[in-house]
Amino acid sequence: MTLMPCAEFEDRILDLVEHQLAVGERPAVEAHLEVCADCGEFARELTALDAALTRELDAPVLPADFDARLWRRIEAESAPRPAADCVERKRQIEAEFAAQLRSLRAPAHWLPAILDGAAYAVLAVVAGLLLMRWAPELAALLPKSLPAGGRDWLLAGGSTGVFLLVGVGAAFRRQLGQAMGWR
Amino acid sequence: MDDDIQERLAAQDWRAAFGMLLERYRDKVFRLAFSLLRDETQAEDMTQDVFIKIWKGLPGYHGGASLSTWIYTITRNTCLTELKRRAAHPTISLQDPAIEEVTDSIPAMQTTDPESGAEMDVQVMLARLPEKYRRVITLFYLEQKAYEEVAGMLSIPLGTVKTLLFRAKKELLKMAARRPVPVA
Repeated sequence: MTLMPCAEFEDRILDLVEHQLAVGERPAVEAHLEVCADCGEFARELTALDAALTRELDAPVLPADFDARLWRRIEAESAPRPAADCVERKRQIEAEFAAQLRSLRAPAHWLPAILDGAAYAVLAVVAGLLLMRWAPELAALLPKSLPAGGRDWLLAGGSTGVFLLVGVGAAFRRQLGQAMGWR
Repeated sequence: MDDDIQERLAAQDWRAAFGMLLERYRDKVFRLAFSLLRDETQAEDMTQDVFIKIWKGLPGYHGGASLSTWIYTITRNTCLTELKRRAAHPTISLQDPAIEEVTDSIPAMQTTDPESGAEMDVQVMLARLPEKYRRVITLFYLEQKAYEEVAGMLSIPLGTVKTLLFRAKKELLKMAARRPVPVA
């Protein structure tokens, strides 16, 4: 036999059985259950099922020593410190990052940079003048066995090297300072 | 609802906050774990793991979600991870026909309704329900038929709880009577 409760009453019968139906709706549903055999049977079966489920589905209970065991685990793992440390470390990193960001966004101070540039330019000019002034003497110091063209190339390479060093020093002054531990 | 715990958290009094939280949510977390895992011992182990996670996570909890939502989310995720682990390393299942045969023969698994006289193997029938129905109906009865509580614990709308519950009951009636009941 197929049980066919009336579709419009199904939900309300369930609510009635579970005591969830609004008081105002109860009379209509109860009156319907008295005249409709299928819905009446459906309500009786739902009530029996509800009683069986209430009886059978007992809430399991945790053992009495649950809390004690949990606290022992917590103590053993000393859990809060690492978590607190992580939060503190995260705050430090964020603060450092924010400070770096502020320094990058700060207006550039042009005067020190201009003075730096001028100093390196003067240094390069002095080095050039010295090279020009002492070039013949430096050429005389080179071994006689070298051909004349070789001496010229050696001088040109040497002077280029000096200017390159000055240029690299100017360009990477801050990095060089950090690498060498200068302030 | 959890204002007292929130106050302790704001004061960074983790131990006091955790103590209050444990007292308030211990049994609910256990029942949620039980409804998801269907195993009391594993549910107890998972409850321990959940509270360890909560303890470790307390300093990072900033109140974005309500405390209960946060706790139930940790519980569901922990249990679902366990279920995935179980699926990867299967042992035995109540759905296994061989196991069903044994459980059907255990008198303790059967109950007789005093009014109708109909025999209802409630636990066996529950085990045969589709998972989504079984979770809702189990939790509904474990939580003393509190719809809102079940919706919050499973993070599903209240209407969905009612629908799943209704369908679950119709399925159970169909099993009990061994006659087809139309499922909406």
